[in-house]
Amino acid sequence: MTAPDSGSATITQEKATVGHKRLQIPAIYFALTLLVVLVILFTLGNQNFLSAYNLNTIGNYAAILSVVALGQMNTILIGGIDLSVGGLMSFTSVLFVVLLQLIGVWAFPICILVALAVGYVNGAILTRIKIPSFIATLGTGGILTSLALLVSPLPVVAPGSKYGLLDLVNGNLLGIPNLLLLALAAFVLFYVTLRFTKIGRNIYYVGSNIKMSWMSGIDIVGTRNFAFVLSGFGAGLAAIMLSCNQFGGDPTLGNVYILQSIAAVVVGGTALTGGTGGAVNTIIGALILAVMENGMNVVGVDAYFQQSILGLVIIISVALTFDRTKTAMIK
Amino acid sequence: MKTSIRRLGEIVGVFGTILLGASGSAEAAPASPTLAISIRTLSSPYQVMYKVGAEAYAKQIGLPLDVLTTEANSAKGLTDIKAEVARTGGNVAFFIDPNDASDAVPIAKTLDAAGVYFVTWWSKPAEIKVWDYPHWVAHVSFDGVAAGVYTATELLNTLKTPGQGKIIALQGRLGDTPNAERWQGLNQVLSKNPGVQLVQWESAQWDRTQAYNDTKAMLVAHPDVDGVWTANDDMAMGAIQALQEAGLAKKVLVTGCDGIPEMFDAIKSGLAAATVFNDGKYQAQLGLAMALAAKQGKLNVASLPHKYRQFEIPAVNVNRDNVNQIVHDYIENTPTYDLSDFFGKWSVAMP
Amino acid sequence: MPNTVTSMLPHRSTSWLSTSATKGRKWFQRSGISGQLLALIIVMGIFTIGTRGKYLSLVNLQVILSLAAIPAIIAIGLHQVVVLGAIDLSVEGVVAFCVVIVGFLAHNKFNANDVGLWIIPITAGVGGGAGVINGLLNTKLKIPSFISTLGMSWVLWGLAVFVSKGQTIPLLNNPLRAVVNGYVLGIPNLAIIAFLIFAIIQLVQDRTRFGRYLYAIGGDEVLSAQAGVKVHQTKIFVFGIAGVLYGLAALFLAVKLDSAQAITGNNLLFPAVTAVAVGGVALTGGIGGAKNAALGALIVTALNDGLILLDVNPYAQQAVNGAVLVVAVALTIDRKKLGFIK
Repeated sequence: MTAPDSGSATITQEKATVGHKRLQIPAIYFALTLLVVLVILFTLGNQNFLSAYNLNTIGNYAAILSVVALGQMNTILIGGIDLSVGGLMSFTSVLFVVLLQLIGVWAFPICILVALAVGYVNGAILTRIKIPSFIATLGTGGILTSLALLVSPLPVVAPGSKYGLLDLVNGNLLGIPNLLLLALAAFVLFYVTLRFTKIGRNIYYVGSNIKMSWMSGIDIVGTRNFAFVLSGFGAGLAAIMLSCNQFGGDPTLGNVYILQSIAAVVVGGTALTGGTGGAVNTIIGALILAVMENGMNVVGVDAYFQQSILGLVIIISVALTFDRTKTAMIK
Repeated sequence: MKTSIRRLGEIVGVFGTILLGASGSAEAAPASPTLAISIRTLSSPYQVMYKVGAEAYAKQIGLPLDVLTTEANSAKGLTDIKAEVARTGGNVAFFIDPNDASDAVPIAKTLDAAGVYFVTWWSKPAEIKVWDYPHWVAHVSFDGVAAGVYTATELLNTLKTPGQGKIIALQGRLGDTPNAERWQGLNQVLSKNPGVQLVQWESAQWDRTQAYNDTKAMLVAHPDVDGVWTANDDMAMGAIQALQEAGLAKKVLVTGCDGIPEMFDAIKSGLAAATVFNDGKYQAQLGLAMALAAKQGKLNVASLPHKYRQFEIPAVNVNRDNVNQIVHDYIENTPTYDLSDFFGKWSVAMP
Repeated sequence: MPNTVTSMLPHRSTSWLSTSATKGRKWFQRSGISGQLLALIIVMGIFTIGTRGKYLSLVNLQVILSLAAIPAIIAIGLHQVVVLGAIDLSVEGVVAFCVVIVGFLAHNKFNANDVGLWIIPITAGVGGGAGVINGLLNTKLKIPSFISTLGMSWVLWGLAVFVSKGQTIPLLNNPLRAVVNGYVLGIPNLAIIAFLIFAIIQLVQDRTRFGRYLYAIGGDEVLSAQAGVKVHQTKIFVFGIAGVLYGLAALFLAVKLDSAQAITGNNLLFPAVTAVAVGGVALTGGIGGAKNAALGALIVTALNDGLILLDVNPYAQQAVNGAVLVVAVALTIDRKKLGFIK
């Protein structure tokens, strides 16, 4: 076998500049323009697109997607990926509803803790056992999917007596749906962590140039573990939001969020090679996907073509929004 | 900056072309109501029958029809239903096959709040009652347990010594209600026939290729099986292929469910024992007709007894004796359904 | 300048070879599949004991070989993209589209078309065309392969469903059926076909300039480009080959099941990625060859077959699969070759 020494592969992958602030503006600028263009086009197609009812629908869908994607984003920023979000969401969903019946409101913190723990395990498999995150999370995702089916092979419905607790998510505060407030809170949390904390900045450094980060004494193991814990948090919170929204748990509900969360992150302009992008990008990415999903139905695009159009749109949007100045090569 | 402006131009241009091209046919919400069906996918022959039936009905009464698909994504299903409500300004009647049983709850809450009449099929949690929601006209289902009982009974009758032997089974996606019901039917029959042993089962996710793979492996473990029970016809076709390669075709028979054309051929040629034909065209038409009647005030939902709000109708049992007749009646011709009597086929109320 | 590339290649292996102790161990390590072979032997050993020998029966070995063939063909196509450091998520869409094309053009129940054996170049060509588009999107439009191939998959899947209107198209008297289902000396023909594909690709990787370019790009794309490697051409070619192999896999699947439907493409992607990874192809690029991909497919198939033969609870099978995946990679991954694990 003539495989070359690829010890150098991972180093030179990022010829990118470490500083992310100066260059971050254009990608968001394009993604945002794209979003506005989509909204205008769909509104031209059917004025009801901008009705309060429909905006609430889009917000609802985008809120859940963006919370998973915000978590996912951290693993992508460090140059990894988290394929276990699907299994984790399925597992958390059934666990949440089962616990809700048993211990009531305590189901919320316990499920979040479980999700954080799963995130930590993912991180530890990467950093301690040194298995690439793609494989590690593919494996843990499979395990969690099985666990979800073992907890409950069938969808479980939350008992009517617990609907009051579900209103923590389903209710309103001052006329604003709690679901949106939760997503907003998650966004602020991730934004502040990435922007204003040391470990957040380390996530960018590790993702941009891991060897350089290592040489400058950054706690690489800690940073990477933290990124996966954040991903677990996002998936866990999103699963709880979704389960409340559905008034029940479902052992297969997470599957579709694996690719969706990654797509939201990338469509927003975060590079899969790591180091560039951020929370604002991810929110816009999730909004673009939500607007597409909803808008195509509001203007009445034939169901046969929706999948194809969505595929074209993500290709085109990444073609237009992807910031090539920061990645030396496109993989 | 110049390139930025050019790229912005590109964005507008490209998306304008795509979306205006795609939405060219969309016009303002019509005054007459719209019919809408929310189904799982357009990639399965059975689900496509909903669309065919709904289209025929929409054409017959001259109303527009929209088709939504969930593609195994519950959140997409709910969002698309809400988008349809927004699109039509609420002037719509719905037929819905929820992606999961638990989806029936948010769908019911959403549509009830929007004042949209709808009928659901197949999946609904038993705890949730239709009559708690004034706009939920009815939940109808084919009797899944009965389907399992029928196919299992037919299978047991075709064993070398009827009522004696070993069988293997393929379930669909674990967690799906129709799968659970059919499985329950099989187990009911097995408990009454101690001579028949279910030696192994796998879940092939409703998928033909996986059913083929799983059956091939199970036949190594149990080369002496006498029959194969499967929860749908697609998996049955995969199992038949595996049996053919093991030289067991026509000796070991298969049963399925759904009634796809290939399965009828397999029954005719002696590869399969039985299936249950779920008439998707009738399902869609009955569902839409009921929802529309409620919307137009022709059906007083509140005055309906509970037994007419949640009920099952019998599917069509198919075996070698009647397969030609069924194909002639339902596949080669579309029967004219009597949609004036919504409860003509009513067989049993759901608790 | 091209010297830089060629000189990058063989030195490493010789240098660490000399430190190895015994000759047998040397070969084992040099093969790049030592860990994977061990994993396969362990898996098969456990199942053989668990099933009291039934697992090693001729019938079961035939079943494993025939079931591994199609995943292996897909994995062999996919792995070269991975060696580049890219990823190809278009498998399901390409297969769905090619299967539907088989349904419409081969002798079938729905129309009068019958292109006979021309169906082989047609599906290979259509798959290859999709692959080339993937390559062009990646190299010329500079779209990350994750997104370009994911988008391509959705586009083709949508087209396949639209064209077929969701129907299943039964095939009639397909001339390839005897080949696909046949055996030579007890070995399933499909396995032989997969082996031939493996041998050709492996040979190309080992002996040609294309092979050197492939690993050079996977090792360091920027350096390779500076050294005169035709990066774009090579990448487009790799995506194209992958598409051709997906097209062939689609054809075999359709012929095997004697019918064509868009959903035949479902559930092919993650097993293929798993096979590639378990086989020891590094997802960071530059490491692993066709032998790894083929072996990976064999391990995954042998595992699934064994779980069924042992009658492991179907609810838990995915968990066992996931755990084995992690453990297998943990034991076999060559951390010396990877700078930082991502």
